[in-house]
Formats: sequence, C-alpha cells, structure tokens
Amino acid sequence: MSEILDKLGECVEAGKVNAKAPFPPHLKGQPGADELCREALAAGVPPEDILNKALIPAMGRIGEKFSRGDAFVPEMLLAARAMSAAMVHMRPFFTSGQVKRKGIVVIGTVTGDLHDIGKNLVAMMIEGAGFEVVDLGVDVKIEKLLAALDKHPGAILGLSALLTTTMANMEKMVASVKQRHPDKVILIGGAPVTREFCEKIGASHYASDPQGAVEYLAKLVA
Amino acid sequence: MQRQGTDSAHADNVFHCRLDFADSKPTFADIEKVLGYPPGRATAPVLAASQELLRGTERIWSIEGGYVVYSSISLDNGHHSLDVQGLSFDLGQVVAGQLTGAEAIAVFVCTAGRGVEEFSRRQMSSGDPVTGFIADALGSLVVENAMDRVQALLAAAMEVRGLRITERYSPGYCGWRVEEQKQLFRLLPPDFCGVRLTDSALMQPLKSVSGIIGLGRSVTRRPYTCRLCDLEDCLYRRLKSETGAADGAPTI
Repeated sequence: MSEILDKLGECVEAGKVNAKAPFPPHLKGQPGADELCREALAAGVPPEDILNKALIPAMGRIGEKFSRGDAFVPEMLLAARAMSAAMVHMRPFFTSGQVKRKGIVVIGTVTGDLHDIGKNLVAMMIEGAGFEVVDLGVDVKIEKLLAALDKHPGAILGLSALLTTTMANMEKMVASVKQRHPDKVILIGGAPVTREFCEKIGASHYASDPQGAVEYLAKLVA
Repeated sequence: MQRQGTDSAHADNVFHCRLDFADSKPTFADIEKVLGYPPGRATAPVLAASQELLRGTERIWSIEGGYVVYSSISLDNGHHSLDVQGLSFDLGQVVAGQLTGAEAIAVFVCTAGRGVEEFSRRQMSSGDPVTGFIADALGSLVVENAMDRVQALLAAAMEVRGLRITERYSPGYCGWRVEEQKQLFRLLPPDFCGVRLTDSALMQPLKSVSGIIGLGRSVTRRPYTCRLCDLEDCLYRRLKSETGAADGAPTI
C-alpha cells in the first residue's frame, strides 16, 4: 500500500497527470496520478489515506520547494493539475462524506477588477492543500459574496485585487462582510496589497503568494 | 506593420499602427525571466509549452499601438504637476523629475488585444493552467515589446523635429496614481487602439499599456528609478532590472 501511495505522491509532486504525459522524462510511459489513484482505490487503499498520505503531502512538498526557491509557479500548477486528475476519482468519497475536506474557502476577485490569474493560482493551491474552494470569479459584487458566505457560514474568505483603485473596493467589501460576519476569517492578496493595508482594513491575513495562503490556512485548521 | 499618421483637431498629431506578432515576439529567455526562473532553470514542460505558444499563436494576437502629441503643456517640477488641454495631472516626484525639460508630451496606448486573455482563460479553465499562465505572461511581454517599437517610431519622428524623448511612464507606477489614467484617456481619441477604461481605471483588453513620454530639445532618457518605488513585487521591475538595460521599467 505504501508503495503505490509513494508513487502517487511522486507523480503529483512531479506534475505527471497520466501515462500519456511525457514529463518528467524518468517517468515517461509509466502510470501517472490519474491511473495510480484509480489503482489505489481498486486495491482497497482507504480514500482518506490517498488524500492525507499521498496527495496533500505531495502538494506540501512542492509548496516547500517554492518557498525555498527550488520550484516556481509553473511547477506548482503542474502539481495542482496532477492532483486534480487524482481528485476526479476521490470526488464520490467527498460527496458521500466518507472523506472530509479541511474546510471551505470562498474566493474571488473584488468588484471592478477583472484579473483572475493570481486568484486562480491561489484557488488551485488551496484545493491541493485539501480545502474545498468555492470560486466566485472576477468582478464579484458584494451581494454575491454575502450570499455565498451565507450559504457556507463556516467558510474562510479569500479576496484578490490587482489595482490600487480596486483595493478601495476590497476595503468596502471587507467592511460589509465584517458587519454581517464579525468573526469571519478573511485572507487577502494581490500585487498592490500589503500587510499594512491588511491591518488597516481589518482583514485577517495578507499572503504575498499562493504558498503563503496555503501555509496560513494550514495553521488555521491544524 | 501598418502605419497611420493623421492630424487631429485636439492634438498636434496622432499616430497609430498595427504590429504583427513577429514584430513583438519575446525570446524564451524573456519568458523564463518573467515567470521568475533564474536563466536556464525553466523545466522541460515550461520550455515545451512556451515554444508551442511562440510557434502557434499568431491568430490570437491583435497588436495595436499609437500616440498623440501635445505641444502645449505646462510642467511644474516644484509641484510635480503637468497641465495639458485644461487637465491637471499630479505626476508625483519621480515622474515629474524624469520629465524635466519636456516641452511637449506624447500620450501613448498599446495593446496585445483581447485574444490572448481569452486564450489564457480558456486554457486555465480547460485543465491546462501552465499554458494559461505562460500565455498570460507572454501577453505582458508582447505588449511591452510592441510598445518598445512604438516608442522607437516616436523617437525617430521627433528626431526630425529636433526633439528627444524620455522613457515612458504609466499611471500606477513610479508613484503616479493609477486613478489619473481616467484623465489620461481624455487626451486620446475614443477607443484609440481599441482600448477602453473601466470605472476602476482598468484597461480593457487587460494586456494593454498607456502613459506619457516627455519630448524636448533637452530631455534625457534616464534609467527608471525602481529603488524609489513601493511596488516591490512588480514583475516588470524584475524583468527590466535583470537585463541590466535599466533600473526597472514598468509601463503596464
């Protein structure tokens, strides 16, 4: 059992989605995350072990490499893609409740801002860390955001802004959320956003990159 | 490249051109750098996806650029202000200082078009985030390269008039507030190069740049002063500063 989980973890870390994927060269022609996850489930490996002993640790390793400067955003995306291929087979166990996620994160780009690349990267990495992500997209209006938070009352909120002008909208949105959900954990990020701005608007945490967001969330639920 | 130069009632002259992807295509080394890799460190999948994008995406680009020259301006270095056509800009200390000696300005816009952002979004949502991410970075590089071409054409046109040009400066960078982009767009013909501004001062298409260039007999094209800027995470700062050509040079 351990061997297949090790191989699955290796494939996720290396971003090898399936047997057809040509990268990395030393795994060429071998099964990838897709096939190995299916095989593991067929062999009776408990799905929570697949998630907690293979998939999440693999994403954690690539995240640590990123923090050390040994991996870059594309490597994290490749890993997240391989993880997604494995997660397709895990979905029924989440639906049935047999395997539980670490929490729910509602995420979106603030009103007036159409940038989505950074937000998408964070969403993928958070999902890879074992959270369910409710992605509201870009130019999210406050009504839509509050409705999502009402629907997922225990969710953590993630907001992104890429312009100084839309940072003002972030401030307004955080204030509206705090009014309705005073204890809401709010994670913010985006190129012009700073730790000082985070403190000023009363958000809970500023993450400068996707790994920073993952590390903060991991501490929250530890 | 197709060029158009026209006179306009509200400015000395207007120049517009369309550029081919081949004219603005970055090198793989530039892509590697903008993605954050040290030279030669990009992995095989990144190299493969980048090469595919450089080879097979001609149809997603719709690259346009241009400028409008205003000869009647008032630059106050003490107050860091620029008055043009009844509009007053607060450029901030850095940009105002870099424009010292300007007798005229060129207001510019350049875009890579909407196709690249749609392509990137499609790749992201269809399960190929790496290609989507690289395409997004490629869009940023293409619009900067295209603007380099437009700026070179401006320099040549001004040289004929005995004028030199400064570097280019954009709202949102070098201490110039992004909100002033709204005023800046009032100095451009409507939908110039197909670029529009939202209420949040966001340019659409997203892969667009706008700003001003100082013109004058005594202006100097000085290196950017990224050391004085608050935007420490600026991708363009990293890209330009590592080339050794300048001390960082964002215009996006």
